[in-house]
Amino acid sequence: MATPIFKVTKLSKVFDRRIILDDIELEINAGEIFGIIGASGSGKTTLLNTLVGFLKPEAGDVQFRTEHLLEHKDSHIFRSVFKHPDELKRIIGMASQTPSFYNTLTVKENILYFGALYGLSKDTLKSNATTLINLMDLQGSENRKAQNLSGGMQRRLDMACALVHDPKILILDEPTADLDPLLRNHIWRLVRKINKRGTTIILASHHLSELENLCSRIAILKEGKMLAIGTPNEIKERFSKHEEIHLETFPGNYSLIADIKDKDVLKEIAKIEDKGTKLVIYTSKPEIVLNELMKKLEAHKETIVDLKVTKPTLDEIFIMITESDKDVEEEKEEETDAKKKKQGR
Amino acid sequence: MKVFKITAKNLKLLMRSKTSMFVIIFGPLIIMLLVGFAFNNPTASKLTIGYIPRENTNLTQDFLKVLQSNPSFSLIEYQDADLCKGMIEQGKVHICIVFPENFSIENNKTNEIVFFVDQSRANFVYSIIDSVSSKISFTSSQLSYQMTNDLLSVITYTQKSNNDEIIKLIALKNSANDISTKLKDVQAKLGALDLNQVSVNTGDMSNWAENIRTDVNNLQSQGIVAANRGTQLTVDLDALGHLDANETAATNSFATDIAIDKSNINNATTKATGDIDLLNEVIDTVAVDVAALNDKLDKAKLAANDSGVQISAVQNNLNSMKADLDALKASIEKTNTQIGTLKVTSAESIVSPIKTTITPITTKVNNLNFVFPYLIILIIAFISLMLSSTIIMMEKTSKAYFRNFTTPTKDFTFIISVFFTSFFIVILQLIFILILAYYFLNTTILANVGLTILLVVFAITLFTLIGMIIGYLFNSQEAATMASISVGSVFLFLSNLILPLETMSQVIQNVSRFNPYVMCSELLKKLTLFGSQWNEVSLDFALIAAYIVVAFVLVLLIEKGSKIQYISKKPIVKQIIKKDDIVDKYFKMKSGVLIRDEKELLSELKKMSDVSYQDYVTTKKNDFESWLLLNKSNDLAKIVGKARTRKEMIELIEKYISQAPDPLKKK
Repeated sequence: MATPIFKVTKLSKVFDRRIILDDIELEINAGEIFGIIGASGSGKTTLLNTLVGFLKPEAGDVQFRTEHLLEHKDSHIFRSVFKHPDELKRIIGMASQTPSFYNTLTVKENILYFGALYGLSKDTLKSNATTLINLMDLQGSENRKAQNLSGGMQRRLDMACALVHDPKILILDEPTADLDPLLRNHIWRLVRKINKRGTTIILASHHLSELENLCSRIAILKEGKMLAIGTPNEIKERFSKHEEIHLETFPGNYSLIADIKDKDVLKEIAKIEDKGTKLVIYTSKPEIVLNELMKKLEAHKETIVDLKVTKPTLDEIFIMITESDKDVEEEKEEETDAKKKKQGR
Repeated sequence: MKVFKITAKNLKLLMRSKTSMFVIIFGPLIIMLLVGFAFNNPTASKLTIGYIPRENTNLTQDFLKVLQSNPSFSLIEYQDADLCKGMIEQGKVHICIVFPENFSIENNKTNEIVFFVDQSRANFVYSIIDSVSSKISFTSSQLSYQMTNDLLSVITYTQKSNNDEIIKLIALKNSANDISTKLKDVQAKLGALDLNQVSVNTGDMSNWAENIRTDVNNLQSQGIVAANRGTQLTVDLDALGHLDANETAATNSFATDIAIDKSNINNATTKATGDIDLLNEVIDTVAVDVAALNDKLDKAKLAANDSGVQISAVQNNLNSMKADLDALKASIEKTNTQIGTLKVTSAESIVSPIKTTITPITTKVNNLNFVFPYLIILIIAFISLMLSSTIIMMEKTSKAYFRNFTTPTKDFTFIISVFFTSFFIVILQLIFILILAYYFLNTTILANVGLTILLVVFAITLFTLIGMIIGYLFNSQEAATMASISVGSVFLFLSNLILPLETMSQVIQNVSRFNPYVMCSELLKKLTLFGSQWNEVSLDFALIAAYIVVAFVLVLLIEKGSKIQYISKKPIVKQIIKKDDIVDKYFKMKSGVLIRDEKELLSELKKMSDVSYQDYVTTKKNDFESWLLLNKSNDLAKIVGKARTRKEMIELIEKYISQAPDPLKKK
């Protein structure tokens, strides 16, 4: 049974009269990798900062299980992060969006310095530093100044500084921002390694496709509201009952192919996207649609280059969720403009 | 300990930042040395003096010689005053002196020397005027002194002469008195003389002389009878024959003696008779003389009477002369008395009745000794302000700033570490400066060591805390540096170091008394130059300590605000001024914007589109009306409820707001 270590209840945060977080409720369990996804400005960083007590909410609370009780799974004692910040800080490590270390200190000096701020003994500190340097593949760079490290190494150093005191919970805010795919992979591998050691990881990112395979559970934020929370599959199931038919043909007259007249088939199609190089059809009944498509292909003498039926990725679901509201808003405005033109204003 | 770890980290970062190293650490040292060398000059500033002689009189030349004798003055002659004034405007000349025409000392003549100076050089002009005019005044004083001295000499001589004359007069009067007395005496003696005729009875004298003769003859007779009887005795004795040898010798001797005596009697009688004869002759002579004497007495009597009359006349003249002498003496004494009423008889006292003496209250003679306390505090102030603010800005602008918040280290620990870092560096710099000053500039602040060290610690603490306030207040290195320099400059300006405070308004002067720079530098001056003790300076220390406490509290508060600002990106001012109200009272729009009152509602209505408006107001609902009713704004709710379109609602709300009573007037 999962043991919650963070409980967020009715959390609201306002900045300059704008609601950044609106009635957020969630629980984070011990040992999981919990992802928070959302577009830029959705409130991910604010949520993380509020989780660790940096920001005080206008409403709601964030509670955490204290360190000495984390081993007792049946214990229900939670404490507010806003009333016990120092206790929380002892069990969390945080790596923010921008790597946070001293440029003119060396790798080792950075790790040792931040370790000293946790009150670690000299021996523990040395031991942890050595372990982390190995874990983060920073061997050979201990005595290099942080500003002379590459982007990936800086990110790893940042994580090492966050892990120096062996926290129970690691919070990562966009850990792979500005990194190339190879480095991103490397970071995710490290995240898994750290998680395997028993550290709960809470991370925010908008690389949704990567989180899909990494996170135990995901929360989707949109304009400060929690749209969904669950495992990646649960979310996919919830937001998209459709499957996607990806069709690539030659010569590729997709407009003709997409022109389906059969009403029975049409009602099973949620959406058709002509991507130019392929056709994507969203449907809950792919077999019926495929049947119709084959007929169309034969009729128009199209040859199949590629055909696959997939479930939508998190990215796609997210885009769908985000853009659906925008489309409604834009349509309404277009209607009003048309009315005005008719009335001759 | 965390504090030491953080302090060590700060020092490491500073050492590895070359720009900071140079600007903060070496910059002030270089400035200090330059300033020290500049001020370490016992001679006064070099002054360029322009002069317009008009006429080259002896007096003008004398004055010019005096000015030229001063090595700090450089004299340039101009023919025209306007030209010289132009040179002042260009900064080539400090002062112009215009000597009058026919410059000389004459009776009933006033000589005026005119100075032209640039008053805009407020921190220098009085020094210039003082230097030059003191020389001019000195020469003028010397001339006055000379003339006054001459005058006083004449007066003194006159007084002395008068005194001598008075003495002579007194002697003269005494002589007159003496003469008068003697004349009286003579007159008295003359009057007492008995010049009446004398009568002498020579007849009786002759008779007596005969009587004497008779008596002498009788004596002779009787004497001889006595002698004969004696001789008869001896014969009788011998005749008796009962005598021994001795008795016989004695009888013989007696007889001899009698014989001698008898002879003597006869001789004496003879002599006496001769004398009597002489006496008779004398008596006769005396009679003649007495007659002549009486004749003379008559003549003397006449002469005495005449002398008496003349003596009286002389006495009258003498009395009159005495009176004149008295009057003359009185007049001379009066003159001397008036001269004596002159209280000031020294030429120097007349020329310069009030002498001002500037006595230094310390034994220091070097310019640098006097300004050294001010320079030290200046260095401390600027280094502390800039260093502490730089350390904080380095931290705030560093990528690692965020991570410090994630650690269970109290803000207080970070604050103390910044303080210790700055303090440590400033102390090191100060020690270095003092060593340099001691060896190269021969100056020290080691008098009154204990209290001096305490003050230095207080000063560094205070300015470090002020620098920390600046560091926490601002968000960029440039702003913090500018603020540090500005604050330091304000402290400097509101002190006596740049411009005399007396030239500023009373308000500024009052404020400057509480200027921390002024307080610290004045206190350091008291301790190092005057050797003030604890009881004299305890109040000053208490005031500075109070400043430190206040500054520390401000550091704590502003650091808190700065941290919130960093995390929430909300400026400190807005944090203080504007607090977010409870969300429930707001109207939450779909865009996330919150509306708190009718003015904000109006503002949002104007911004939103008609389409968005329909999200809130339809034929079936009016969310704005509902919200206003919830918030008990019933009047406005009614008005808003009547509106069918967005435009209508805007007009209605505008009307409502304009008709709302002025809350100030209500009061």
